[in-house]
Amino acid sequence: MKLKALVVDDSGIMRKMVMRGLRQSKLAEFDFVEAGDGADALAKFDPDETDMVFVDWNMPKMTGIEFVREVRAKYQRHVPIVMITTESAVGKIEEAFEDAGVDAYITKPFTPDVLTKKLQPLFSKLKAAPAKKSGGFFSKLLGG
Amino acid sequence: MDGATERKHPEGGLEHSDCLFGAVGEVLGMMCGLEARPEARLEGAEPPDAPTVVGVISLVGDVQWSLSIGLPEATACGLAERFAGFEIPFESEEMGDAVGEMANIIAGTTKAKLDERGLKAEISLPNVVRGERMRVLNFRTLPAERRRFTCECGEFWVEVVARDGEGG
Repeated sequence: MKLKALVVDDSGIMRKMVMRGLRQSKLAEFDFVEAGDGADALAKFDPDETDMVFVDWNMPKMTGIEFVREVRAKYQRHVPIVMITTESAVGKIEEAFEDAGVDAYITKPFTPDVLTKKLQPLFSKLKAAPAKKSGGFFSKLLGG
Repeated sequence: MDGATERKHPEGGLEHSDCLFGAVGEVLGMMCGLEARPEARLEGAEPPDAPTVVGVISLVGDVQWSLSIGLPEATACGLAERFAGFEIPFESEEMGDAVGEMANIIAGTTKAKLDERGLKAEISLPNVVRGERMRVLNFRTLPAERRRFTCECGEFWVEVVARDGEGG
């Protein structure tokens, strides 16, 4: 069964690169939905169907961090969110994890190998506690 | 980086320009598998005849920089293909997208290097322009540094302009 992943970046090229990296990672099989900014992502985010989100930080209309805050405030179900961004300052990373509530953080530039390495701990962690964390996200992976 | 680099204004806010030029090499190395070498300063040099696409982005904060990355057509096509993983026609919107994203990532890496030196800055969204015989014209009183790079895909240039001569 495929995971429905929302990929959010104002660069279409970067969205393609993220999707290609995720396919190459073989961490899961994905069905992708794309969004060009935070507002577009919020409109396309489905609290019942979206299994995972990969989001950039700096975008027009609504930034990625604003999108994350909106999703966390609005929806009960915890959907794993991964930030993929050029922002590498410690303060920004802390803001993303502790204030906004992302689950993983990847800085650009990255290679497909780096993407895989950075996501493996998240996938392992979520597999260990699927019922609490993801409301069925990994039950799809485990065939449940 | 080695080699003499003459600057219009030696004390004009570009003391940390090596952060940018180092970032270019790092980003192209990691994302494109290319070694990009700074070759020479380009002060006063004529722009290349070839159609060129230019990514422009700003850093604002402890430095006030405008960065430009100019890619002639042949270089742009080679770099973009290495960057994205698929062929991108030069005249396409995707080429602009790729160059803008390259500029964004180079600016982000530059920002991280400046941060290591205690200098804080925020990055703008990138803009991309294209044309032939292109030069980015700046006020002549502003400190600027422009360097040519070479890589397996061809030559390109990178320029930084300090907008008020302070900071950095």
